[in-house]
Amino acid sequence: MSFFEGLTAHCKEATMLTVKKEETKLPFFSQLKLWMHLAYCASCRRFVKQSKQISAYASGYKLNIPESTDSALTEEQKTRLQNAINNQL
Amino acid sequence: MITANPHKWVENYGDYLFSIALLKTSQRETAEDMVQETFMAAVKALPGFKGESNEKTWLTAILNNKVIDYYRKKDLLKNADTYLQETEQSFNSSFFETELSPVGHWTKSQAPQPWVEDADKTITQSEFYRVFEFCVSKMPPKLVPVFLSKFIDEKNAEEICKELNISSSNYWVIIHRSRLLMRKCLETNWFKN
Repeated sequence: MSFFEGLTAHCKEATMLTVKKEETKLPFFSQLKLWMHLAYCASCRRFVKQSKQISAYASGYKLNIPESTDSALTEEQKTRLQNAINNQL
Repeated sequence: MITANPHKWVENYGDYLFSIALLKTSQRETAEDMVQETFMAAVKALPGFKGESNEKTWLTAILNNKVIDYYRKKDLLKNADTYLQETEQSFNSSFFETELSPVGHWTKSQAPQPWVEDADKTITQSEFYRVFEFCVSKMPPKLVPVFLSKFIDEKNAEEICKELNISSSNYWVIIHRSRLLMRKCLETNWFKN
């Protein structure tokens, strides 16, 4: 068991390796550990998949900013800001 | 050639810039100040605006610099090292088994579940992004700047570490934690069966 555990990652390590792998090239041994872990861990396979989804959703944020009164300027604020601009022109 | 039209800035980009500032600072007053500072800086820089990028991109870049200045001034990532160390144990034990075997595996409540995306839900994108904003607001403040720089602004690790003055090992810890939190929050509030 200890030999096997040395070769494979646990979930905490596997999720960290997943995060690093998105931006860097993993050392060969880490890559192997991650690969072996994912072979038998369905939860971490989901983590990998959902991580990609999260990145995709986040990069769409600026194009899909929800309209809501909470995150909108009030008319009063708008007038104030535009006046401030006009004064500087 | 694109020309700038400052008389329309607030009407055209006010809410957009405000939403981004609000997401990044989580305070309405600060966000409004930042939008105003952005416009003021933009007016000053107008002679240099060559129309190489569009107005919106140009204003957003100015805003982003203002936000970085704000993070620095507030020293938001000060003692990031100590903070991450002090919270490491409690954070990890809330996601992964620390005592029960198998140690290092997901705890029962945290193990990722399949995400259900029903057809109606994907249509209501604005609802989804409101949940996304909520999840950002629930994140520990020390994680937010790095998370947003990476995922909203799509900057790379090197750039982020330099801008926010953090080490690369802290960068990975922050990305790891914020990812775990965001994943769980979206699952609970959006993708749940």
